[in-house]
Amino acid sequence: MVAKKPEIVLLTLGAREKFIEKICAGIEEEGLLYRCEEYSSAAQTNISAGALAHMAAQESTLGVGIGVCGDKATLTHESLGNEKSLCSAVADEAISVQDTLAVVSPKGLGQNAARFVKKQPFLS
Amino acid sequence: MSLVAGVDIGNSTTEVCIGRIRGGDIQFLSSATHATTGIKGTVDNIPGIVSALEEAMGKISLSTSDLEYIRLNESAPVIGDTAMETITETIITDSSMIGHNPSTPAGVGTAVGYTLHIENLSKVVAERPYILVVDKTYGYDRVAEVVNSLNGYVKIVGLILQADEAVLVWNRLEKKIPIVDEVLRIDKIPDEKMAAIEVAMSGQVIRQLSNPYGIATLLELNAEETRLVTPIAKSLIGKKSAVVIKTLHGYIAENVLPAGELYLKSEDGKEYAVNVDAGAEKIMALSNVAGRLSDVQGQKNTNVGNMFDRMKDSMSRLTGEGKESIHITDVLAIDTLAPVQIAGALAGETCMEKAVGIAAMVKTQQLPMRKIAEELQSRLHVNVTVAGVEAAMALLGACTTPGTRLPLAIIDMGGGSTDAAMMDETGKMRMTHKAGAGELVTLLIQTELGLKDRNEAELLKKYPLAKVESLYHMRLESGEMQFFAESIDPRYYGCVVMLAPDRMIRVEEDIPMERIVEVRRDAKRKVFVKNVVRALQEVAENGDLKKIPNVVLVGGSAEDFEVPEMLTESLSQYRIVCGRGNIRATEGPRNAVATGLVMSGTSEKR
Repeated sequence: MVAKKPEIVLLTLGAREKFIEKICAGIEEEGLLYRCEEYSSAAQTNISAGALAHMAAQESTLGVGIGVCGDKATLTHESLGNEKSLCSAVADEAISVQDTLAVVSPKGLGQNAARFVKKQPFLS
Repeated sequence: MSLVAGVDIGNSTTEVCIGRIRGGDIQFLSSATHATTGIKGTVDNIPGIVSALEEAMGKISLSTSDLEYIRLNESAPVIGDTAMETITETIITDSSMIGHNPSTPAGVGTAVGYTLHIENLSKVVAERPYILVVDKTYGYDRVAEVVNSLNGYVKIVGLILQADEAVLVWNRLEKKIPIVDEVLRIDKIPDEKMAAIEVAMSGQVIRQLSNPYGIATLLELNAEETRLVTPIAKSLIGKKSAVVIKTLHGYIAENVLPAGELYLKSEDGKEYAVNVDAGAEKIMALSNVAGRLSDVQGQKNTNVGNMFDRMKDSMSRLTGEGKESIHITDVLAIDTLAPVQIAGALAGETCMEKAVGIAAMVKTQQLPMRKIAEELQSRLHVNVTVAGVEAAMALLGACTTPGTRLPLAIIDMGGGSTDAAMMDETGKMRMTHKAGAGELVTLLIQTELGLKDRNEAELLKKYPLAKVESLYHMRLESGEMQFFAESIDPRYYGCVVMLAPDRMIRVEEDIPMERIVEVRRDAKRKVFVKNVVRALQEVAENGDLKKIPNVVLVGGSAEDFEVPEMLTESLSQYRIVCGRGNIRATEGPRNAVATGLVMSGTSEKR
C-alpha cells in the first residue's frame, strides 16, 4: 500500500505549460509538496476552473486543490462548497486591466495555496 | 414645576439631560447624545445641541418649546495637542550590510567570498571564492543553470537574490550553498568586495554575523575594524539571514538628532531649558522642579517649537484673543521606541530608534459660551443660561452613581487632556487639567508599531484583537475561541483582526497579535495611569491620595475596554475605590455634566 503524501493537488485542462509551472513554483518556494494531473473525462464540456479545483481538493490529503482551466486558475478548500473559492489567477498572457484588481499572479496563487496550509495570510 | 434641560458640549459629543423640578425635588426624565457640530465653544455647536434636545424631548413625547429653561455648561477652555520627536537615527554608508528576515530563505550555512554581479562573470579570478549577486530579471531556472555549469570552474560559495526564489534555486543546485533572497536594493551591492553570508536553520537565528568576533573571524578584521563593526553585529541580532560586506570606508553609525530645546517658564518667573533629546525623564523632572507653569515654548523651527506655535494659533483663532495671551500650562513627555527604516539599507531593514512623545495643553480665559446661549435662546424661545463650572457639574452628576459619597474625585479622560476634580465633605472643590490623554495614546501606538496610518492606530486602541486561525474560527486575544457559522472571507485568513462592534477590521501590517496587545496596554498605562496619579495628587488635600476614598471615571475614555480596569488595579494600592461611573444608575460614565446641570437647577430663580 502506498502511503498518501501530504500534497496540494492540481487538476488542469487545456492550460499553457508556463502557467502551470508558475503556479507550481509558488508552491515549491513556500516549501510544500504538490501533484499535478491532467483532467480527462468523457463529458468535457463546460467544466470550469472552480469545478476542477473542487475535485482536486477532494483528492488532496491536505484538502487543498487548484483547478486550472484554460487561462484561469482557482484555489479552494474541500470544506467550501462549489460556489465559493479562496483565490484566483489569470495567465500572464491573457490578463486584462480589470483582472489585475481581483486576482493574484500565477506564482502568487501557488504561494497562497501553501500559505493556506501553513495558516499564513494570503498575498494580494 | 418646571422642565429643565442640561446641555454639555464636549469636544466630540454634545449630551443632554431632561429633568422635572418640583420645589427641591428632581425627577430625571430622559437623555440624549449627539455628535458635536463644529469646534466646541462656537455657535456652530447649535445644530448639534438642537438635535440632541429634540431627541431627548421626543423620548417623552414633548417638544423643545415645553422646556422652562436650558442650562449650558461653562466649557473648560483647554486644547491639547501632541508631537513625536525621534532623537536617534542609524545610518549605514557604503552598503556594508544586509540583515533581514526573508520569509523563505534556503541553504543553511556560512560562507565567505567576493561579491560579484552575475553580469560580470567575465571578471572572475581563478581560485577566488565568490558570492554571486543576482537581480530579479534572472529566473530561478537560469540562475541554477548558470551556477551548476560553473561547478569545478568557479568557486561559488553563496548567492544573494533580489527575487523571492531562494528555495526554487536551492532545489535545483547540484552543490548546495547558502542563499539570501528578497534583497530589494540589489543594485547598491558593490562588486568584488569581501563578504560573509550566513543563513540560520529553520526556527533559529544567525550566530556568527551577530557576533563582532564572528565577523572578525570571517572577514579577517583587526581590533580597530572589529570595534567599527560592533553596531552592525548589534543590528543583526535575531535575524534569520545576513550578509556583511567588508567595505573600506563603510560603517554603521548611530547619530543623535538635534531635536531642539524646550523652555519651561514657571509661575514664579524662572525659566528652565531642556533639550528634547535628553529624554522624557529629564523633561518631566525639570517640569516638577518648575512647579506650576505659566508658559512653555519650543525652539524656533523645530518640530516641538512648531507644535507649540500651532496650538497657540488654534486657540487664538477660537477665542479671538491675541497669541500673546495664550499660555501652555502643562506638558507630558514619554520615552518610546520607533522602528525607523535605516538610511542606506538594502532590504528595508529597520532599527528601533529612541523617540520622545510630547503632549501639551493650552488654557485661556474663557470660551465665548455667552454667544451660544444668546443664539440658542433666540432660536428656541426658551431661557438659556450659562451655568456652573464644568468640573463642578461633573462632580454633582457623578454623585448619582450608586455607592459614592463625599469626599469624591472624578477623572475625565478625554482626547486632549486628563482632568481631575475633587469635592470634600464641606463642598469645597479643587480641579486641574493635565496634558496627555487619548490622542497621546494613539500617537504612542502608532509610533511603536511603525504604522503609517494614524487612523489604524486609533482603531487598535479601541478594539480588542483576534487571530483568524481557520476558515471557521478565530482565537481572541483573551485566549477564547470563536466560531463562524459560515466560512470567512479569505481576505481575513491567517490575519490579526480588530473586533469592532459590527465588523472585523484586518490589521494590514505583519505584526504578531501579542506584540500589538503589549504596545497598546503599555501606551495606555504610560499615559493614563501616570496622568491620573499626577492629577489626583494635585487635587488631593496635601497631595495625599489616601484622603480620596472615591474616584469616579467619567467621559468617553472611561468607556475604553481596559483602561478603567487598569486604573482600578493601580489605584487600589492607595486604598481608593476607583471605577467607571454609572450616572443615575443608568447612563454609565456618560452624561455626568448634563445631569449635574439639571441638579444645580433646583436653586435657580426664574
